[in-house]
Amino acid sequence: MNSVQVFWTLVWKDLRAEMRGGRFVVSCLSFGVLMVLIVGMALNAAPHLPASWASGLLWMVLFFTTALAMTRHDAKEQEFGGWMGPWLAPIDRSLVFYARWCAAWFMVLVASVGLIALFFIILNVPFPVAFGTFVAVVAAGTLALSGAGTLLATLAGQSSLREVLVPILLFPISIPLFLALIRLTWHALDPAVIAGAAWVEIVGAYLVVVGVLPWLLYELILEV
Amino acid sequence: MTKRWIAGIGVVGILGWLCQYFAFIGSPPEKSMGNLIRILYFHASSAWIAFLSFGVAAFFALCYLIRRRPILDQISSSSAEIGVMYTTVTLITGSLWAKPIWNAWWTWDPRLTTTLILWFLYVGYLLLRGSIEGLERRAVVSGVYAIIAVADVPVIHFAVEWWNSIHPQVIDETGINMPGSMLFALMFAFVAFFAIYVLLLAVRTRQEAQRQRLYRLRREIQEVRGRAADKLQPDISAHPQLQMSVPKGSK
Amino acid sequence: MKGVLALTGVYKEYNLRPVLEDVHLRLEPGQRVALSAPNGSGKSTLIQILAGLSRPTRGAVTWSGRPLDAAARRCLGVLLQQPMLYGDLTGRENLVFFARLYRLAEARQLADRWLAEVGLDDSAQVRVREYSKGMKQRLALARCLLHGPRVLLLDEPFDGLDTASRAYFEGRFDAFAKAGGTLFLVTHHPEEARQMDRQLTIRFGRVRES
Repeated sequence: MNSVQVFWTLVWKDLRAEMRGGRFVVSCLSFGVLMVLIVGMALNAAPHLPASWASGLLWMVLFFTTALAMTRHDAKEQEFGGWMGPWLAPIDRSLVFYARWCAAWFMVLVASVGLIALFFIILNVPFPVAFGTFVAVVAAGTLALSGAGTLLATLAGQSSLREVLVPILLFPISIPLFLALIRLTWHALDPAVIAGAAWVEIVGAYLVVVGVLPWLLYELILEV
Repeated sequence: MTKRWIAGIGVVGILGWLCQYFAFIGSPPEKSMGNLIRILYFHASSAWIAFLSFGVAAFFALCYLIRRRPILDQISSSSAEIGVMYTTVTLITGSLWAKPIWNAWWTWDPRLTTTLILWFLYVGYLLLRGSIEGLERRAVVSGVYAIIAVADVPVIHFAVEWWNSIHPQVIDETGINMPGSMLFALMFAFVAFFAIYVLLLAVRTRQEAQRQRLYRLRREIQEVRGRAADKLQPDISAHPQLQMSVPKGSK
Repeated sequence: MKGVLALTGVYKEYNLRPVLEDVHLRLEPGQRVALSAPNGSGKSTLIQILAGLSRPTRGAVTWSGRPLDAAARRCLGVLLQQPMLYGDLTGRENLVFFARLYRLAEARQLADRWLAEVGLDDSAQVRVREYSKGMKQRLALARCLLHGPRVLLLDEPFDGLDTASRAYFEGRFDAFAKAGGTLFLVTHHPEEARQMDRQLTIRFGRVRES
């Protein structure tokens, strides 16, 4: 019970900091929209994209955007040594990870709502037929992605190559997730395409791993 | 260099020559691809060894996280480095083979794709490891990453396989029926590559251990100099390895 | 609740070099302890280990004979060179946040009280990023005292403070010690160390009385 309150306190801190000019959502959104624009130009303003391309491009944009945003999110914790504050408090330290994951997910989700809307408008992609599935895929996908991103940003946090390293580590690690999300989104855009249960399992597996691993390892990574 | 090292290098050298003999001369050409089959002996064995070395890296990383002995981290990182090298060999030989057979340097065959992702995973490992200050912290962070990466490999493999199952033109290598002499050459190549792996691992680990030892000695010399500069009695008896090597002049 | 924060046989290696060797230390209730040693001698490492921020390579950190776990961290107040605050939150929000992390009742009222106490009530709604060095340090002082710790671990707390703030900080620490709290002060100014009950120094990784 108490842990839940502490968890929300930590999430509240991240969200409040974001509202006070964290610019996580704004930078995510502007970078993402810019990428959509670039993609549109790269495709020579194609009037009509096949559903498979559209879902692939959508997740490519979301992956890049999240990867870049994660680094920024992590840098905030370091600024005035803020991360050590919760570390000193009488709480289970892995809660810090779950709270950061939750806050990052929430912000990525907010950014991706705007991003996806503009994606559909700019690239002239038809509205998803299975809208419920589409929403579920985006929600679960960004949840798994921001979880993996938060974990890897913590790992790379000690590195002098932090900014470059987060995408370099995140992409290979989450390629199965990437493939699964593309296939599931494709299915949502065009239900005639069958997406096997295996893809849902992959997304589930990522959520489980990102959910369990930090409970064991998070304290270890941040130990000085 | 001790006799053990010379013996080890000798054994590996003999195995290497025998391996080449079996691969290039001893085994017959294959029915459909002719002499191109010979590249398989090197390609498949280096792929296996690459997987093995990443497994070893993760295992020793786990041991390090539990026991915190520097040697475990040295073995783990050396194994990962050698794994990257073997993965590179696998990718290059695979491409060389694919060009005449599939008429392309690269196809989205599941195994190729998995191997390439694997290569990126561990290049990321090397970058991560190379850019962290502090030996202990570096060992912990890269150890955690090595474990995550190995856990990810089967997922990547299956995902890529399912993903590509709609591409009908994927050539299934498992259909190759292999005569005994080829199988022998392949197994022999595997043994030879394994011996090379063990030798490289021993050399690299030893090198890393010595580098750390040298580093530590240098720090200790600095300390002793510092004490002398402080006009304190240098407590050399606490550092028996320094008794011979305290420098007379300063830099 | 009184308790003894103790190190037994603590070793800490950094880059394979021992920073601390076989450190035995007991911080008794009501004692004021100063640790002064040259830069790079492991002062900061020692205080991080005492605070549970850093894990010793070998040896144990105990609070009243039990390992320093999450519950025991409640009894520690830590003030390091970094203020450990969030730049994007206001002073008040920072304190409310930490009060909630320590599960203190009436976090808002408590935060307001502490802001008044350290003289920051005018800047309560200003983001910490815009605070001066001294203001950040005052807020950090409130942060480390607000949960009523039994032990204060201080790493150069007077650095960058003007005379008035400094006197205020010293008064605070004295009152804390008089009330039975343990004070552990890391400093490189000998005159600060001399005012304490017990002076320690680190020489070649070993902690000694001086």
